[in-house]
Order: sequence, then C-alpha cells, then structure tokens
Amino acid sequence: MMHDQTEILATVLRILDEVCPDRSADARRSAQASLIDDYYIDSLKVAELSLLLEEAFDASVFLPHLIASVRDPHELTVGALAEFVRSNLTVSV
Amino acid sequence: MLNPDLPFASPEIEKLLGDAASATWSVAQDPLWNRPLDIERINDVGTASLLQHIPGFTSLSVVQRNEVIYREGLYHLHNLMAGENLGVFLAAQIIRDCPNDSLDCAYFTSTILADERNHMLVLRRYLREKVGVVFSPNPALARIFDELMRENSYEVKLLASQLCLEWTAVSLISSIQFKNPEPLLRNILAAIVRDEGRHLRFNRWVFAHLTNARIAELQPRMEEMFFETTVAIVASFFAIPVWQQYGFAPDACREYALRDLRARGAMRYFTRILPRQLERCRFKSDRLIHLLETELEQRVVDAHFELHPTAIAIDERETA
Repeated sequence: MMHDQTEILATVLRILDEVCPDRSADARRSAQASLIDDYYIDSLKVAELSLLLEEAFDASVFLPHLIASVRDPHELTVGALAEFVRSNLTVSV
Repeated sequence: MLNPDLPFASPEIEKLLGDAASATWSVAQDPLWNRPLDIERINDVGTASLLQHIPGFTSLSVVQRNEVIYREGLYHLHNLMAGENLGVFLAAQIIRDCPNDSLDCAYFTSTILADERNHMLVLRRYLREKVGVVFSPNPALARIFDELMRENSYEVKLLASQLCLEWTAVSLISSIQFKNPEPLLRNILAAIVRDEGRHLRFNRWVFAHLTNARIAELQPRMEEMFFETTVAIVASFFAIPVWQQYGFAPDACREYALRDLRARGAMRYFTRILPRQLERCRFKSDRLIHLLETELEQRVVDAHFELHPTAIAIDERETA
C-alpha cells in the first residue's frame, strides 16, 4: 500500500493523540512538535507507539531504532517519526 | 544438517542476512571503555521508582532516591543481559529445529545467535568491569527462560523470546536515551537496538509464512506461553533485591509497586496492547486478553511469593 508523506504525518499525529492523551497543553500538533517535551513520551509509550504504527502501516516500525539513531533526544520530533515510518515502509520484509 | 545447495525462499531474508553479516559491531572497541564512567550522568539512568510513593522512599534524601533509581536501572540491565544470554541458546535450538527446506530460517537465526552473544558479552563487561554491581536475574524471568529452553516448538521459542521478551525489554530500556545517560551505556544500547530491528523483521517474516493449519495447531501453546512470559516481564519490574538493600519490606514493595504500575498505565499496556503482538503474528486470542485482564496481577503477586529473590547484589568494587 502506498502512503504519501502528508498521509503518513496525519496518521502519526492521530496515533500520538491516542497514545498520549495527556500531552502538553502547549503542544503544537505539527511535524515540529517534540515527542519528549510536547508529547511526554516515556518507555511504555515507546512500546505502544511502535505497535500501533506497525498496525496502521502494516510494516515493521521499531521505534527504539529511531531513538537510538539520534545523538540529542530533542531531535525526536513528530516529523522525524513520520520520516522514520516512511523509510520503514520501503524496506519492510 | 542443511544442504548448502538449498535456495533462499525469500530474497528479502537473504538481503537481511547480508545486512547482518556485514554489520559492524564496534561498541566493544569504543574508546569510552578506557575512560572513567561519567558519574554525573550515570544517576540519570532510570525513570521514577515504582516505590516513589512508599513512605520510606519519600523520607530518603534526594541523593539516596537517585541512588535507588540508578540501582533499579542496573537491575533491569542485568535482566536484559540474562535475556540476551537466553537468546544465544534458544537461537542454537531454533537452528536445529526450524524447517530444513530452505536456508532462510537457520541461517538468519545464526546471525541472531551471534548478535545475542555480542549483546550479552558487552552488557556483562559493562556491568562487571565498569559499574561493578552484579544482580541475579529476576527469578520469574529465570523460570520462564528454563521453560522456553524445554519448549518443543521453534515458533513458540521465537515468538516468546524475540517478540514478547526482547521487544518489550528493548522498547522499555530505549527510553533511557531520553535522559541523556552515561555515554558508554548510550552507545551500547544503540548498538543493541540496531540489531534488534533486524530480528523483528525476520520474526514478522516467519509468522507471515506459517500455514493456517500450523497457526491453529500452535494457538493454545502460544496463548499459554505468551501469558506466562507476560507474567514474568511484569514480575521483573519489581526490583526487590535493590529495595531490600534500603530496608523496604517486600510486602509493602509489592503493594506500592503494583499500584504505581497501574497508575502509569503499565497494566493496561500489558493486558490490552502487548497481546496485539500476538495478533500481528496471526494468533488473535480473546481468551488470552481475558486471562491477562483477570489473572495477570494476581499471578505477578504470586510469582513473588513463590520465588522470593534470595540473591543480594554484590558490589564487586567494595568487596575487592
């Protein structure tokens, strides 16, 4: 199944809303929002997000891989997550 | 023994095998091994303690609270190391028992074996050589490891060890990276996670290619082992050997830790979300969800009554 980047971002934001109902009141609902500072991602949410993204895109989306790839945790934005999902859609087994 | 002239059934697995074979494992040569640990950062290893609301905890100084959290983090790293050790021996059994009509499963699992060996050795070196604290693995985990070693089905071994135990452990531990942790530990965890991403893709492939008849045949055992593995995972959150060192009574620890896990949404995660891993592998089970919802908490408590940890942490630097 093909997904364009806008569609991927919209799905990622929808799933973040589901996993992080207690997100910051100031959180921007955009690609620039921080997963840590705006969405308060913690260890359980990492696991839940991975699974829900896999279900939504029917592909392997192993979020710890994205987390491990950044030097500064503040690089973990919604946009980076959407791009990570996109890159996984092209290589899924 | 496999005939080396057999084909690969899946070009994707053949490519993934190539990626694994050429992946560099350089963390063992990281120059940070030769430098002292960054003590300022090492206290930022863990998230809030499950005992944060127990009366004795709130009366500790900030330094002592950080020390409890740090030691809880080390306890969980020891459990991760024990899981990697199990992974080596389960992979060896899977290579022996998996289908022999193509090279895919056996040869990719040989890379899992090598990866798990690397993970175990690097975690062992970090915990013994750099940190100097040793914990026994949580007894509930040790018991499920033994059961998996006795399991007949390679598919059950693969699902319970890779998709339930390791996937959960690595997902949970990856959040350590949010805390800007001690740099060597950060590099070790990043290296482990890179390998686990490949394992996940392989596991998905295995379960996508099982026949419907095989899925039906395995369903009851999958449910049973998934449930028992989930009990062990949740039980392993209870860092009782650490808590004992600070004089907290096991009964109170169990009560407060369980309460804290509920408040964090962990019990919802383990009863409603994690079983969807099983569904992703084509084992949909309302019975399992019912079992988790009705029996998980009690089984976790029972596990601690039956298997009360006797091992106390040994600080090797202090006793040397």
